[in-house]
Amino acid sequence: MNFSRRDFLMGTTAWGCAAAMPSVFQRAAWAAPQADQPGAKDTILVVIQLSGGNDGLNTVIPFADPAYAAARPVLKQSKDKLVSVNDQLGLHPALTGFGKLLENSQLSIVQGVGYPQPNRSHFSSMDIWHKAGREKEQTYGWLGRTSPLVSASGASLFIGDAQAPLALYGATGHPPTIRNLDDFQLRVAAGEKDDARKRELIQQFASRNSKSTSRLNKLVQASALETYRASERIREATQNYQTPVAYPETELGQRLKLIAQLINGGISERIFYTSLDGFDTHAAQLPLHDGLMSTLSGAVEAFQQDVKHHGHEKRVVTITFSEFGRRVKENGSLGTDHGAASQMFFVGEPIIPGVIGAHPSLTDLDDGDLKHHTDFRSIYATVLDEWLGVDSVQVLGERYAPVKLFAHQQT
Amino acid sequence: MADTQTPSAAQNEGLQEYLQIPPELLWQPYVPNSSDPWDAVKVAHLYRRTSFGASYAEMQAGLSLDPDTLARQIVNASRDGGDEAVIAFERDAREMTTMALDSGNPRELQAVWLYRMLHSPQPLLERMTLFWHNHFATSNAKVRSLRLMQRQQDSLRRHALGSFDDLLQKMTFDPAMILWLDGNTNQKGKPNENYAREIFELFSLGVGNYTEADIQEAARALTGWSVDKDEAVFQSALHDNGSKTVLGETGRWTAGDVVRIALAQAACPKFIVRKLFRELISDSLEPADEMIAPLVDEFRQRNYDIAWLVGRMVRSWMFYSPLAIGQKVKSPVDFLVGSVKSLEGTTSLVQMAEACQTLGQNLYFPPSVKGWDGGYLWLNSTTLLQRQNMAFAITSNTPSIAPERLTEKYNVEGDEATAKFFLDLFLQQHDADILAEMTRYLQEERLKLKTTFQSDSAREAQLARKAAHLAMTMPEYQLS
Repeated sequence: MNFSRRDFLMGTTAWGCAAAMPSVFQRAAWAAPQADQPGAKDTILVVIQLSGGNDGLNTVIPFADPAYAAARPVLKQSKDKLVSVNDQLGLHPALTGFGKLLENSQLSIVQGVGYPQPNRSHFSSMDIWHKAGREKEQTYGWLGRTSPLVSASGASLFIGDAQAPLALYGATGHPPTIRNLDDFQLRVAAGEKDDARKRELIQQFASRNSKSTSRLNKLVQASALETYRASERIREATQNYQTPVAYPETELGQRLKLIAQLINGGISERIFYTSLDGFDTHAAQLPLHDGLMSTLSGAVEAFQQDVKHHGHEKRVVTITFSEFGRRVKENGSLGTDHGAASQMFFVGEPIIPGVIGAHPSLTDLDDGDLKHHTDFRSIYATVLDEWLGVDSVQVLGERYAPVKLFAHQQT
Repeated sequence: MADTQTPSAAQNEGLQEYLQIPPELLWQPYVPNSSDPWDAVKVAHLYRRTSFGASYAEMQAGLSLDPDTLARQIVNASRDGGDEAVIAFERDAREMTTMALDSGNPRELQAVWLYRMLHSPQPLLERMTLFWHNHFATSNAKVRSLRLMQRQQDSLRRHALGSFDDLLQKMTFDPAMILWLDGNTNQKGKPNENYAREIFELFSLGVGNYTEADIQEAARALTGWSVDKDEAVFQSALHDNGSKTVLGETGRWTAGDVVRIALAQAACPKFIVRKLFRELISDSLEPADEMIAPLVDEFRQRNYDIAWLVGRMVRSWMFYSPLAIGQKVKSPVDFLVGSVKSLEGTTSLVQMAEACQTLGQNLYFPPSVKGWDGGYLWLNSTTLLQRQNMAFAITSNTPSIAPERLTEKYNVEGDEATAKFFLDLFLQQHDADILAEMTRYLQEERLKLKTTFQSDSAREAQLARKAAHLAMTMPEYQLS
């Protein structure tokens, strides 16, 4: 059981307050210019979480280093199959879409990302990535802290069918989760009919001033209200979307398509989050990892094409991360155990394409795992300051050294 | 940031006075009195937490008993079993299970479990089986054998109210578990740490009560177990026979020793009591150690007797206090099974199993070894809308669920009485303005329906269905 996460879920915090806070007041509290106001920043961040701990070493492969083949006698990918990056590195053979993005200067590989004293528990390490630190008192996620500063609704959107991750929780409450558009409408009457009075009453149940003093009750009420509102906004935003891009039929493909649809509809949210699960490859890793790489690559490639087709390529950047990489040496089950540092991908036109940072040494290890040279909070800080236009100190609590990730940082 | 002040849940709700009561007193049996009477709110609360809710008639019957007797009846029926009703029920359930397994369709197996939850004479046993399924969360997504999943569930049910000691043993050598956490590839010289990590982190001790070295050593002790022809088998040639140091104890430990050492840790009873607190008392309050201390010590002394712990919890002042009532979010199973039970209807259980998955609780397929996060995380925008839409579907489109039969059965007449009946059935308490609004709505609808050509009974049926649907869409209905 993960106590930091549970503390967050149960205890303390201003959740109750925020949920009970009248929305007018929340609006007044926003610091940054809103996306729906003229002159406001309208850049968009899409985050893809690779859950379970992606094997970074078999994703971006240092084939020229003999230590790679030595550590991976069975799991090694042969050099001639790799998607070419440079004379040292290649991408996993299934990352063909990433290969094309790289050729078109729309992909960067940020190497050696991690944090000091890595935690090898999925849940604890994911919490650290989500909260951007280990502080027990910190109950909000890094994007949950960012959202009120960047979007009119004060929220971000999670596209998926699990619960929204900790990364998105913040003072303004629970982030909307959308599985698909049809499910996202309130039904009150059969067929095509409507019952406007009933709909109104149901919404009133959520907006009324209940006599109950229960914090949990207030929270559910506030979420219900936000949900009904979001449902209306999203219905309006997505009415006229069409695309010539053929997305893969994978869940990730369909989720990214929905994100493209929402972006195209001009919804005011600027942060979209989704996940791809199944990276905990302790055993029989090769076929599993092949499938995951292919899913990731195909979906992201289609998404990027669609974004471009609709003319949003200057304002959309997609990033990937995983809670940790995997151990350098493969285990006895044709798999790999939990590790530490790994890479992040950045996709989009506004980025600096190519390889950023050196591949971590395969011989100078930390308890069998790769050592990081770039703290993930430096990446977060750069995304906040340089892409979303939010003071990173306000979100992260301190200044982290920036990394050159975006094209405009070079000029 | 708006969160410079972080008032605790208790301060927010004026619950501070409860937190000042010495914990030993809070865990004493609740005795009704004039300022804290035994009422419909408390009866419904007990039925929600120990069964899957109750019909209106059952709630009335519960009110006529005293709380101690009712709680003992519920716990004893599930702990002891053995009477004719149980034997007959188990025979039917086993037959249905066999058929479901033969079909190879997980939905059918899920449907049988839902059947158990709806109809078992031992509902607490089903609740606890579900609780342990979530605790020892194993997914058929990886096990890929419904038979082994069902065997694990049978084992969970057998020990659900027995001793946690037995339960941890059984799970360590459970074939589905061995496959789930890679025991079958954990061999001498090439250990796989998966089970070793989770037995400490998630099954017995919790984060912070062991080191990475303990995990590595425990993994060695666990080597040699695998699954062959659906049975757990031990191959001594694959077992690392060397000396290991696990949580401070050194010896040539085997899997059984890892279990023994985990159970001997002071963190273990605390961890399990905490988890049951979350299940039975509140998932919105993280209790301080002192608050659960009176239970922790005795739980350990009583050899991890789960039925004792559950009985103690659900009879306590704590259980009937504002710290507990309405302080959990209904799981999808609670929401769906509870709704159907309250409405005294039936429905396609396969569809109900599908609906559970839609709402985030795909039985036999928990999302990870951590189980379902649960609590407030059950609710997100999509699942909340879907719950509301399912409430509509259940009350409006399901022929075998007929709210109008309830108003008939319990002699409820008139729009205000109808509104009140469904508010009482689903929520037990409500603000006066809600009743007024609902009554007004029903009166307006009645006038509209009068202009259409239909029989009186069809009109009454429509109004009853509208009232039931509305009561179920109150945000409070998501709470337990």
